[in-house]
Amino acid sequence: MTDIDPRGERAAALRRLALVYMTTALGLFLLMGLLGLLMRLDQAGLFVLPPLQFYQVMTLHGGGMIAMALLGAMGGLANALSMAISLSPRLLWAAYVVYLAGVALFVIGTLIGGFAAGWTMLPPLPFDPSHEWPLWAAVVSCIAYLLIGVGFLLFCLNVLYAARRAFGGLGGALGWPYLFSAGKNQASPPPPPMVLAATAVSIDGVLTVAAGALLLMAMLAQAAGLVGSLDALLAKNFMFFFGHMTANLTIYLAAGLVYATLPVYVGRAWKASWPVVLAFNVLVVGVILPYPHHLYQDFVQPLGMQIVGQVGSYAAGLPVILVTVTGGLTLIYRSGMRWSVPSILIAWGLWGWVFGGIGALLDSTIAVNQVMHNTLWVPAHFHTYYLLGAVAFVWAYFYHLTGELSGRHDRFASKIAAWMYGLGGLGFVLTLFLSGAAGVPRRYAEHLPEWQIFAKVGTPFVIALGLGIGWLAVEMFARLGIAWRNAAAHSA
Amino acid sequence: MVVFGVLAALGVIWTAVWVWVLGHSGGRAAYEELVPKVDVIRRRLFYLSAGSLTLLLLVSFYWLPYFPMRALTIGKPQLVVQVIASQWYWKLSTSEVPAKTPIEFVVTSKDVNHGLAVYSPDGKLLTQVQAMPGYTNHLIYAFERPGTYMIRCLEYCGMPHYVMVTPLTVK
Repeated sequence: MTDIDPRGERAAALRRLALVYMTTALGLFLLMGLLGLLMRLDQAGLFVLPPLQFYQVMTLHGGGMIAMALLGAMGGLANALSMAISLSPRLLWAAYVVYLAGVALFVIGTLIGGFAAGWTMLPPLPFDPSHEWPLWAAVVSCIAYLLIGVGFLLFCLNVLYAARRAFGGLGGALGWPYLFSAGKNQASPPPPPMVLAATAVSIDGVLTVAAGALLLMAMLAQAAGLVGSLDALLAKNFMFFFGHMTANLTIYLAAGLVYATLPVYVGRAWKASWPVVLAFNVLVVGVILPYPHHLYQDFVQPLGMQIVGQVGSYAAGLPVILVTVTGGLTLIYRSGMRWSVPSILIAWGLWGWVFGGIGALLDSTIAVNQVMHNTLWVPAHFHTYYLLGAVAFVWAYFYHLTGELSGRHDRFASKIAAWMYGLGGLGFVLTLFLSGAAGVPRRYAEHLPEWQIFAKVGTPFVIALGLGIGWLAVEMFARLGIAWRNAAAHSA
Repeated sequence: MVVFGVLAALGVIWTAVWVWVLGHSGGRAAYEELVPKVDVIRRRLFYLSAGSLTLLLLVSFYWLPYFPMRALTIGKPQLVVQVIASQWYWKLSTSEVPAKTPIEFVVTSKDVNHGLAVYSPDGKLLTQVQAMPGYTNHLIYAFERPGTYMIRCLEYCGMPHYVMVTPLTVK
């Protein structure tokens, strides 16, 4: 591990790379967030978004937010990992360019081309002849997803190569010598938790991108007239394997940032204990199993797959939540934690991860899903563990990084803004959960008058959240110039 | 709303723990002494969660919506309703069905994926199944009370998705 030097050129390049990745992510978040607010205002009956525009906005908001969160998590972790493994800045810059080209194409496909098949793009809708968008918009949007997938793939391959090199193989990077000696092999201490998280995510990331690429190529082949119609059930399985896994892996990638950030504010080291190593190893398989829960209402799906979906959903989140959340709370308890924007956001992130997880777990029960599937319960749970989980972790790390590099620290107003982000998010997701419990469908461009009350109550919370993150964004953007210059010399 | 009640109850417990820990973030405790105690709590939490989830899994199978299970819990279908979903309307072989009778909805789609969802006269989502091109799904349901029920599309199927609705009269 001789090339791991926090003062070296590689580390400096990774710090700058993290700044660019995360700045882009934050910019995208603000834009996509505004689109989300427009949709909620429309559903509240306070603003009129014509249906076609509503669905274009919905498609861009969904795809854009997932791409944004993944980009931010990748950038942050690339820098955090530089203390333990040697990633290639050149390859990560290439990944950024490819990824951003994908995002740009998706914006073109939706806003200019009018593509509005939803972020899940379930075949045959994207190329259905009765749709309202031109063929080129659907083709461009498929290529956009492919490029975003390739960007993620480059990140994953880079992590796997570097982790393998640093820890003598993938088994070493997953802490196997330590794991299989029941934690007694002190000669082979496990890798830091963020390496475990990055390795586990990257293994599954390769599988995810492969599945997504296969489906997208088939869709493009269909658009070119090279193949006939795709099997609807098979296509759904591939799309949800790709989509669910990408969204899920983003959360675990972002969780890796908690391991890098929280110790700084509590003054305690967060080492990989045996349960942590076990949990991330279980994650490698565990994260693959739950995706069939998206297909519970496709009754022709084999029953065994439906049961795997429920068992897998119960089993997948539990180990990592138990170790990361209990580990995080233990780290905070009687630590003399420094209350700062990053620690406040991480506290919200831990809350949202668990609360969203409870909502997800309930909905992953087939009997419950019968009356919750495709209601607003679904966006409720994933907004909870994105907005108040993964994304909160990403902003925590970004705020921490820009603070360390610029030497500027938060003020009282910054902390208020961080609390506002959390409280606004809390109110917003609760109204979504209530809507779902009342059976309000998701993806409706217009809501019945009796449904509008949920969006009306939720809207002020979204605005509070927006003001909170807006304030923090201004602070982070204002630090960027000095942070960029100091990145070369700093050892953060 | 029962499900929301469960979410709220578990959410309150979790929030109480979260607030308590954050409220005790001050002061200084020896971390090395905390770790073994938390390991015990974590192990107990794991057994509690694993046990509860296994129980929930097994009990929940009673309410599986799939054909053989519903034929057992609701009864063998006495009437068949053919449903064809198209952009953006529903075609039902009949628009009137009897109450308290197990009905089999045979559901397919002519074009893209749709979702057949049955809403009660007071707006409650009762049951649903996907309508898929190239596949036929079989859903059994028995309506408790007469009234005008609504069938809404719950799988996004293009711009007029939100107006893809049709009444179903239960007598």
